Amino acid sequence: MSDQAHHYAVAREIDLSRVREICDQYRNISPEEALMPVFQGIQEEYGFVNEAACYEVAHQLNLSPTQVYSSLTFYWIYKWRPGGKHRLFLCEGSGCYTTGTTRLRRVVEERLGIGAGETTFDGKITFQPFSTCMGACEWSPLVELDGEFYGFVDEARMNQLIDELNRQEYDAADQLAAPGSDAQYALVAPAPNSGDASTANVAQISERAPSLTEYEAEQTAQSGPQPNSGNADTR
Amino acid sequence: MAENLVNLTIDGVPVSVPNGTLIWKAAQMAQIDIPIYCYHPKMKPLGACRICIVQVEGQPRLTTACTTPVAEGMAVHSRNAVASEARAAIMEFLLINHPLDCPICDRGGECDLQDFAVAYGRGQSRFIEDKKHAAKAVDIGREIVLDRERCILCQRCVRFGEEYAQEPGLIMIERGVKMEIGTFPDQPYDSIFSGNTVEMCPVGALTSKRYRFRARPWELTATSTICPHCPVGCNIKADVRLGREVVRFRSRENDDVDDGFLCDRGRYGYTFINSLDRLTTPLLRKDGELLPATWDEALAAAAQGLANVAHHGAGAVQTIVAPTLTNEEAYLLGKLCRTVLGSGNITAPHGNFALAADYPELNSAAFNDLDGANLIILIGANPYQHQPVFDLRVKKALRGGAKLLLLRDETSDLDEFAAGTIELDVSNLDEALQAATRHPLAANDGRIVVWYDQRILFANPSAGIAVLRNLVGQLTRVGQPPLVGPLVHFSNEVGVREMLQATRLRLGQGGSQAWATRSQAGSGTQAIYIVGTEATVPEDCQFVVVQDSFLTDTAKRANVVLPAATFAEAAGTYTSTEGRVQRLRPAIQPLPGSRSHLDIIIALAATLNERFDSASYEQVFAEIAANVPLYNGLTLGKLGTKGMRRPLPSALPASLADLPADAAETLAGVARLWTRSSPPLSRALSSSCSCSPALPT
Repeated sequence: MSDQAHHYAVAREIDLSRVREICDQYRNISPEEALMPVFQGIQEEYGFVNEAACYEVAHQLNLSPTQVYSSLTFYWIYKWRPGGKHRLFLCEGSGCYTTGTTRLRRVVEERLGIGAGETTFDGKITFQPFSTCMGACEWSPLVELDGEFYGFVDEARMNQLIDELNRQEYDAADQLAAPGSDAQYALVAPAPNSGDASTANVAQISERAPSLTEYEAEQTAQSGPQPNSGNADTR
Repeated sequence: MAENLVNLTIDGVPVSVPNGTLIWKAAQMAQIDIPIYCYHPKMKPLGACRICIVQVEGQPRLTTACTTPVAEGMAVHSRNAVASEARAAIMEFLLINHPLDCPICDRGGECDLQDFAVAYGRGQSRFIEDKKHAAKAVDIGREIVLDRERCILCQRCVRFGEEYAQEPGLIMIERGVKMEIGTFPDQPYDSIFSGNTVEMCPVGALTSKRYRFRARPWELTATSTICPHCPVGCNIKADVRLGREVVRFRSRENDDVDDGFLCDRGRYGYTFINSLDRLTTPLLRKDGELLPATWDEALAAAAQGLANVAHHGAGAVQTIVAPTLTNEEAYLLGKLCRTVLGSGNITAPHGNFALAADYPELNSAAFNDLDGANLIILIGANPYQHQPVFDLRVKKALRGGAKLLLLRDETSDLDEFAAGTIELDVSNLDEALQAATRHPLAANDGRIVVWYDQRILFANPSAGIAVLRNLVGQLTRVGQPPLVGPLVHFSNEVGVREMLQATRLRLGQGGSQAWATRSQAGSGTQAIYIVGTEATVPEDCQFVVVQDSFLTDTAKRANVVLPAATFAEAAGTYTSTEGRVQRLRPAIQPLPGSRSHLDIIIALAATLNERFDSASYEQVFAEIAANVPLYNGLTLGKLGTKGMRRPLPSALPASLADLPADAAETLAGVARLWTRSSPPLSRALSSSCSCSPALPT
């Protein structure tokens, strides 16, 4: 219970004094040039760049906030809202697309219950397919998970990756939680500021995450019997 | 000249254009229309929309006409099978996500997307998938609404803010299929130039809040007139719906004045014309209460009241003239006071500036001189506040390579563009101007343009003018004096003052009194005639006539209120701050019950038994052209639709110091003014007023 914060490794607020420090590192180059490395620095540290940070960057670099915002949103890699602890990217460039990313996408959507650009309700995993080629078409379809690249990914491999994520996150959480404690509920409840996570996702994950067996059993026990039909969703 | 020309053919038509011309422009010159969305002639080409695609022989791929410069021997095809097919395909792409809600779109009927789809499109879309949906009717700024579904992402509006107005404006958000126009989250697009983006939007994506759903384009008739809200005198088209309601102002491009752009103050400064609070009947004070009256009653009462006190002395009747009246109205008022009311006491609430007749060297600059100038010196000016489109002109000149030297005592949006700044103390003008002449920027042999705000001359007009003339002398380089111009604050301040000066009447001089928009009547005044403005009326004033469109605070104090028409219902001429005389044309008939200022002045004079020779503004203008020196030789025909700068006295004095301070007194035209001899009021009222004092000959 006391370890709940441990699972939410992603920051929810950006420390503006830290933003200033990051800007200070790039005083020797022109403001326009500094913009990208500054964004990268903030993103690396906090996982996202929000309005306040955007304003502060504009102020520090003496640029117009609207221009800074325009540049920021141009790059999909910069997140406007906090993302999950794990980042699952799926390349949907032409090369990868023709080798079957649609199937991979369906796997992710069904296993995790989230769509493109969404984060699981507990803030663990963000899924982001994107259509800008990553330049590794000879390995297509390509998946990037937490900075690691995986080539020739098929449905089985994608399932494996998600299983691995489950093992890391949810099994570890179960170990941390003392028997009989209510730590599991912390995993289920929507995170306080988790943006897009809706209560609908809660229902979906209980229906559609067959590999999260222990977890699912807990769920069913808590919320009463539910059809565990897997694919028979109402989407 | 000839060696700079490039020869090419467009659709088989041979064209010779200057080197560096874009194919689109060359086609325009050959009267071949190539459609454009993203390109705007006032801004840098982008090549985003691809609709202007053409085939150039010998080039492997099609190219965009708006980004490709001409080359010798080029053979361009804009209408052959290849180009037409490509254009139809581009059109099909542009329409994929367009909602096609033309029947409820403000642009429907004057939309480039509609027009080009008919002209170049394929008629039916082959796209059967779902359209992309986006936010509609997004409140994006004080004056504008954005429809993201209609947007074709041409980026004209974005580039206008970025490149032309050079201020934070609209931006592109995201990329690819998600790309959209917007602003920083929760930050509205608030700019005094935001209305221009609505006008340049080729589709109905940006619409004006005030015009939205008010009219369809085919119901509108446009009148070419000018904007009365600042002394720049931007050219506008006033769109009138069904002959009655003014619903929109658009820019009527006049590159010499406004470069095709308007500010929001001018663009949306028409709503009061349609106000329900307009006066539609004369009001007459009976038993302490203002009650409706007929025109005949009101005019008779006004004439009687003014005449009753006119014989008490020269200052008994004061006339206060709005600096927004036309030249003709000001001229007739001057004449009325001179001949009928027998009073030389006439004021206009304006500032002080050096009159062109007296000081041509301080009125030599035109807006066009900004382009191509090496150095622009602005003294105490804040054009963003008072002459917004002038601000755009300055920024344009700076982009063209000019340097800006600011003499300022307040911050303005031009601060960040200034190459040099000198702190200005209006009470010690000499010091700042001396600093300007010593400034390193002033040491250049190119063209120097100086614009001074009239307010720097409040405190001490004559000394200020002397200092300015001194500046002219010191900045004269290689025999070329700097070009100097005044920046006044009201639309026809220059013209009104020139008209009153020409009628050689005493003007309100100097100080805050003349500057304020509310005029103060002088002591000893027993009756006041206030035309088109507000003024502070002394308690002991016996009789007040107010001529205005609204029941203002001043009008509530009046004995007689005469309902006047607004600028959109009046005809006349305005003289802008650069001395350009332009025609104001009536877009609509005067509101029933009201009359134009000119008609009221003529009718009041007639009631006072004085028949003016001129009964219409055309005749008055002819009289002005004959009698006012600077306007000699001007005709309405010469002014045309774009106006012309009134000529300056051609022979500048050899030495500037030789020019007498009251040079106008000796200028020939003035003496010719009042050679007529009838003393009408005295005859009419058998009073002893001294209404025609002896004129110097």
